[in-house]
Amino acid sequence: MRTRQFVCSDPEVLKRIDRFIPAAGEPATYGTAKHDTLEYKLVYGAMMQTSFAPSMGSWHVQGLYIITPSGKLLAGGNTVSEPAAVVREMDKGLERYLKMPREERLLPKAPDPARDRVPAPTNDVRPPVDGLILRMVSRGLPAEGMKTSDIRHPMFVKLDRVWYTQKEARSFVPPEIKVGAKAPVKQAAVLRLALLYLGVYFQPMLYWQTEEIKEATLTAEIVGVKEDAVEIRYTGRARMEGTGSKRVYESDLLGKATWRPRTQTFSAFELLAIGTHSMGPAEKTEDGPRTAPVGMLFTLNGKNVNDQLAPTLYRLYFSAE
Amino acid sequence: MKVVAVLLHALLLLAPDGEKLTWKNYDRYRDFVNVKPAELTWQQVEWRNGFWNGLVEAQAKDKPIFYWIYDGDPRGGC
Repeated sequence: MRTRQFVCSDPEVLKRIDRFIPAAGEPATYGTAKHDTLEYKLVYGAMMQTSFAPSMGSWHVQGLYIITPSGKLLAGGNTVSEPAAVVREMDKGLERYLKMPREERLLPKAPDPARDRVPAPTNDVRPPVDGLILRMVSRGLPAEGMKTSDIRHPMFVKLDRVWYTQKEARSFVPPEIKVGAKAPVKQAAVLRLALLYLGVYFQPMLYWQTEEIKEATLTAEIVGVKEDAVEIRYTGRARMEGTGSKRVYESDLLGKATWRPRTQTFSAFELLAIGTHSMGPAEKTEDGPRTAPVGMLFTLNGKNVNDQLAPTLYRLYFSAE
Repeated sequence: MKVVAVLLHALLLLAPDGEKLTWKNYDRYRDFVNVKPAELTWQQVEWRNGFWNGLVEAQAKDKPIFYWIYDGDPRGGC
């Protein structure tokens, strides 16, 4: 997150980026992968040249690195919030790349996806067609004693996506289309938010277990009907309590949406959760209040290519139809 | 970092003051929580999805890979 906000937004980094092919990924892709694929060997080999070599047995590694297609690490490091240091590494890496013979910096031939690519659950996964595709924003609210070194401080923002199929999304609309019609949003759809999103975006990203959901309700009410526009308001509550830990999250939810009956899709959607999060022992790593206010907002997803990622916890999705 | 400092100052000026969420303060809370354009500057870069996609293109274009690796995709959940 710090890298996203401080480094990858830095003008000097952005000025240089076209001289590289920027790629983003996570170690979890490789943790259980077969070791004999070319992709695995290239990434593992490069990361073994970093300061994370001792922890590569568990694929604990992070940072920004300049790597040749042939797998040679040229520069980089775990400088997550220092743009000037990253710029120096970019310059160093580029210089080394250009000095390297072509046959040394490139693979002998183009990699073959059938043979060389590490299969991963979210490879080539796409959002459901005509589904409800949301962007999630999680941000701490101002709190006494909250330092700027604490990622719960309001200056930090976390992003993710929520995906619902068109059929799943229909439960966000009361069955009867008339002003005043009220209905609970299907529990499975609400549980996707409660288990995998609400109060989750604190390191180490602990999602909730079913038995920890003490309250998760969301009611939809139609407040306006025009020819092809149904205006909906949402109200709800959520409360989760960690089993065996002191982790707690609770919030009030309000939201609004516009649903188009002709296409059975949403043209507008907002769901806001305002509440508090209390850290459990696994999360409390910084000084500062154990309990802090937090806001989460779900809106229709952005159109930027970087918004099209699969949800972080997509592997845990269950049907909400 | 200067942009961050300015954004932080603006954020704190607009901060809702700990009230329970109601329709009266909904817009204020929403605008405070929502991501700001300056916080999406990193999206000016088309980050290829995963090392593989970066590798294929870097091999074809003879360019170095600028690889951003983080626990939980660095573009989002982390």
